[in-house]
Amino acid sequence: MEKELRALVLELSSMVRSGVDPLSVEFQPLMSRLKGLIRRSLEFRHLELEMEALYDLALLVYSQSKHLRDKSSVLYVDPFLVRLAMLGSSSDRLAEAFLQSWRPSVARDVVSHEMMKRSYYYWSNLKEYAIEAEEVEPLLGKSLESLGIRYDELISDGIVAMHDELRDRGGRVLYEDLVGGGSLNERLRRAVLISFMLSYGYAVVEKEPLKKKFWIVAKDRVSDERPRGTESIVTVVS
Amino acid sequence: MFFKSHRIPGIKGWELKRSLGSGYTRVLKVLRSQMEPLGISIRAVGDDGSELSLDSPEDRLSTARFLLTLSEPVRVSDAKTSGWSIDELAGLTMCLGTIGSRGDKTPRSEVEEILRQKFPKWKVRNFISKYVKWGYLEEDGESLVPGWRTNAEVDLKSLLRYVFGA
Repeated sequence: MEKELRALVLELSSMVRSGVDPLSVEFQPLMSRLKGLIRRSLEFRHLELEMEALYDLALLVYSQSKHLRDKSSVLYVDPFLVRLAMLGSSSDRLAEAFLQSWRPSVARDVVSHEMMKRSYYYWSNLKEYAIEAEEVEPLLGKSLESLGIRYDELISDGIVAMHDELRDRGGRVLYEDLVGGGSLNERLRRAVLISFMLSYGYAVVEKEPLKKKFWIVAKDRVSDERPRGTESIVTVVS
Repeated sequence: MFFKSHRIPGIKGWELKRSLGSGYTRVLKVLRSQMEPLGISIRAVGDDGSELSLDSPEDRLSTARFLLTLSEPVRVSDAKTSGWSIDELAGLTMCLGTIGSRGDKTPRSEVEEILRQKFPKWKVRNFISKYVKWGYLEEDGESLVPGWRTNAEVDLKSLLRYVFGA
């Protein structure tokens, strides 16, 4: 008795799992077999097997119903025709058919939610130290000469005139103010002159790091002559 | 919705409800209108793999998975760039076409037999393993059924229509 029940359960579950065409299954004989076994069964331990067989039969009925529903829909296509269509098409055209009906999902692949949160806090905290971008005029590789600055001018009257101007303005002027707000060429010319003036010792730089300010402070001119045996290093403070 | 949970992208309806409140579908509708210009759609996929609208009954939406997909078809060149070969795409079309035309469950041997008429045997095994790994197919005993990714990303009816047009 138990052996027969087990055989029926095995047969039914293999039908359900194999994906066999549900309409090809003869439902009535299977139901009759199960009915007969249930009538003959008097033992409680058979109940589990009987329920399992009944469940598989129910699944088969459900598959039959679903299959009929699919077949009756206007969009039902015969598997044989589909097979013929696919075998008769090139790989390129089959790929194109897939791409036309495919809308890939969009997801983050590596970054986790926690990492996003941590990076958000990191960048948010950096914000208060961020340096604001300023628009600058690019030099575009222009040489000093092309900007109208001649070297012989730098080492003569220009430096002295710049020193006199510094003195006239109180002897202590902000670097930006001394460079002035003229054209790029003029600002560059004055910046170079200030740099030479500092190298000659006609002035010194006082820094205020907290306020990000640079002051140019005039010193006495010891000699108008250029120091001998030394070289000036041009340092543009911007 | 951009994040993955257990390797599957998207989020369940009940999770959205917990975060956004009971009117979460209204929020999603607004989000949808914002995402559409970017070429991204919101899809709700039910437990049985069917696509649901945002006006579906709450009990169905709460267990549905909400995810984001591209709105427009992918070009062949883009698919190649993202790692697909033409043969892999064609093989997947054949698998899904076979399964789609048979309902939703097809013996693996039958799928392999059809693929073998176009590709070498070693390639067929390789393809099916990849499709299962990527979530386009699922193994159900000796049969193959559409995987979660197929339910979420592929319109099977439209695929069959294009197969006939191919």
